[in-house]
Amino acid sequence: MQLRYIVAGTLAALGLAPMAQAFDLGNVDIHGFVSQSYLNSTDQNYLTPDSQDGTMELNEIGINFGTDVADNIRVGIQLFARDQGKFGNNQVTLDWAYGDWTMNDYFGLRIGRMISTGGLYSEIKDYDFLRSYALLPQSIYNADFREISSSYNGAEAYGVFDFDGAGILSYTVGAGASSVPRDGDLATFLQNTPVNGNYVDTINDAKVDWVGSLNIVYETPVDGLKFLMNFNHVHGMVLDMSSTEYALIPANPMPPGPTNPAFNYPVNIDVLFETERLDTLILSSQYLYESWTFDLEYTRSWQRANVTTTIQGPLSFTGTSMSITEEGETTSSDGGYLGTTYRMDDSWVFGGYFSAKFADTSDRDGQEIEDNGGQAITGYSYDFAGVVRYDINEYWLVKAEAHYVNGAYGLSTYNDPSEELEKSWSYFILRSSFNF
Amino acid sequence: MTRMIQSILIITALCCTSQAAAEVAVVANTSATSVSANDLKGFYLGKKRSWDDGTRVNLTTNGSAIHDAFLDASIGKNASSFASFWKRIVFTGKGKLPEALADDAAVVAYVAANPGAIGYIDAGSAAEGVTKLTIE
Repeated sequence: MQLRYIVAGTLAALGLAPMAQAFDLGNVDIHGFVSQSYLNSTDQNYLTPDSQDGTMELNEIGINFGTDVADNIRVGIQLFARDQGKFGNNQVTLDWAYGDWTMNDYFGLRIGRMISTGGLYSEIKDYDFLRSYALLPQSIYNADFREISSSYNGAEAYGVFDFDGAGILSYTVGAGASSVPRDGDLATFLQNTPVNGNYVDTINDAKVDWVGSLNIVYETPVDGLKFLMNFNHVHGMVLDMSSTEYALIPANPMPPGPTNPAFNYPVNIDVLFETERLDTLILSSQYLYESWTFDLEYTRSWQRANVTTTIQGPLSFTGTSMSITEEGETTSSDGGYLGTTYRMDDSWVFGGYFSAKFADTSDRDGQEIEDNGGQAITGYSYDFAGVVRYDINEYWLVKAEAHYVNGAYGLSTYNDPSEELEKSWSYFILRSSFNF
Repeated sequence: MTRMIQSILIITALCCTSQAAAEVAVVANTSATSVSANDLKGFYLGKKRSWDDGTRVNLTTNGSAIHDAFLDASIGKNASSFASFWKRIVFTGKGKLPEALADDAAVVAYVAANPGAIGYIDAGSAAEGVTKLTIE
C-alpha cells in the first residue's frame, strides 16, 4: 500500500482535527509528515533522470506511532516512503522500529531497527521541516543509497553525562545487521549505470555482514556551541553481479575465415565485489547565536575492495572460463561544508552553504581520472547554495533553494547516460512540507 | 512638548509593567522543594529524565503568554526552536512531546494529578496542590 494513502487515511479517520501537535489514540501518539519538491536543473540531470525538464519526482512521506508501555520503556515504529527519480518509487519501508528502555540518564538501550546517526543532520535528513536547507550538503549527506546509510537492525546504547559547569556529553554506540535490497538504491544504480556500454543484468547476491557506529556529542559550557564526532564501520559488503555480452567467436578453434565463420556467442561476465574496508568519520560543530546558526562539518571515508571478474564463454567451448581477482588498495574520499542560517522571525529563515567533496583525497583535481580516460570533473564538486524558508504556520512551510555547482563528483550517468557531464551547472528546488 | 514627554513616560511605564508581569513560577509534583537552573534546562531539553529520587519527569508546556518568557529565561530558546527541538526527538522515536496544556489552571491541575510532573505558570497564579520550586 502506498504510504500516502496511510497518511491520508489516518488524517481522514481523525476527521482532520485541529493540528494540535500529535494525534493521540488512547496512549498512542501519531505523527506524520509529507514533503513534495519541484526540481529543475541546467546542463544535466540531477537526482532524477528528467530534472532538466523540471520534475516533481522528489517526495518523502512518513508516519510514526509511539507509546510508553511502562515508566521507562517506550516503543515506536515509523513507516516511510520516498520517490527520487529511479529510487524509492514510494514503496513503503520500515524506517525505524524499536523498544527503548531507559535505566537512568547515563544508560539506555534501544533494540530493533535503528536510525543511523552521523553529523548534525543524518538522523533527520528525511524530515524537511526540521532543517533550513531543502537539500542538505551532499558532501556529508548523500541523497542516494539510503539502505546502507539510514537504518540497521540491532541495538544501541545511549546516555548523557552532565558535568554541570563543564558541559554535557552524550553518546550513542550501536551495531547490527544491514542489508542491500536487490530493488534498493544501490542495485538500481548498478543496473542503470553503463560500464563500457554494458549494464548489469542480475544482482546475484548483495549483503552486508554488520555495521557499527559510535556517536559522541559534546555541548560546551559556551552557550550554543557543540561538537560532534561520529564513526561508522560497514563490515563485509558483498555485491555479486552478472551480465551477458556477445562476442564474435569463430565456430572452430582455428583462425576465422570463409570456412570457419565467426558467430556472436553469449559470454557471461560475473563480477564479485567484496569490501575489505568501508569506514566513515564525521567531525561536526555547530554554534547557535541568537537568531544565527553556524554549521561546520567534515567527513572522510576509507574504502578498500577486492574485485573478482569471472568470464564464462559458450558451453560448447572448453577452457573458456577464466577468473581474475584484483586486490584493491585503500583509497579515501572526503568533503565538508560551512553553512549559516538566520531566522528573521517566526516565519522567515535565510541561509546558505558552501560544500566541497572529493572522490580521492590524493587526486583533488581529478587529473588521475583524466589520465585513465575519465572526466577530471568527476573527481570533485563545489556547491554554493542559498535558501529561503517561509513557515506558513507550525505545521506547513515552503522553501526555495538555488545551487551553483562546479564539478561533477556524485553525479552519475545513470540519470543521463547518453551525455558527457558538464563542469558548471546549477539547480533549483522548490519544496513544501507538512507535518503533524 | 510636556505632553509628549508625559506620553512617552506613560508608554514606557506600560511596557515595563507588561514585562514585569511575566514572572514565572516553576511548579512540580515531587518531594523536592528546589531545582537547579541546570537541571531545569536539562529536563526541558530531554537530557535529564528523572528527579533525584528516581521518579520519572513528566514535562508540560503552558499555552499562555508565560511560555515565551519561560523558554527565554530558563531554556535559552524561543518558541519555534523549542518546538523544532522536540519534533526532532519525536520523529526519531526518542521521546514524546511534553504534555501541551492551555493555561496556568490546566498546568496546576495536571501537575497536581501526576507524580513527577513539572510545569510553569505565572508567579501570581494560584498553585494549590503543587510545589512551587525554588530555582537555584
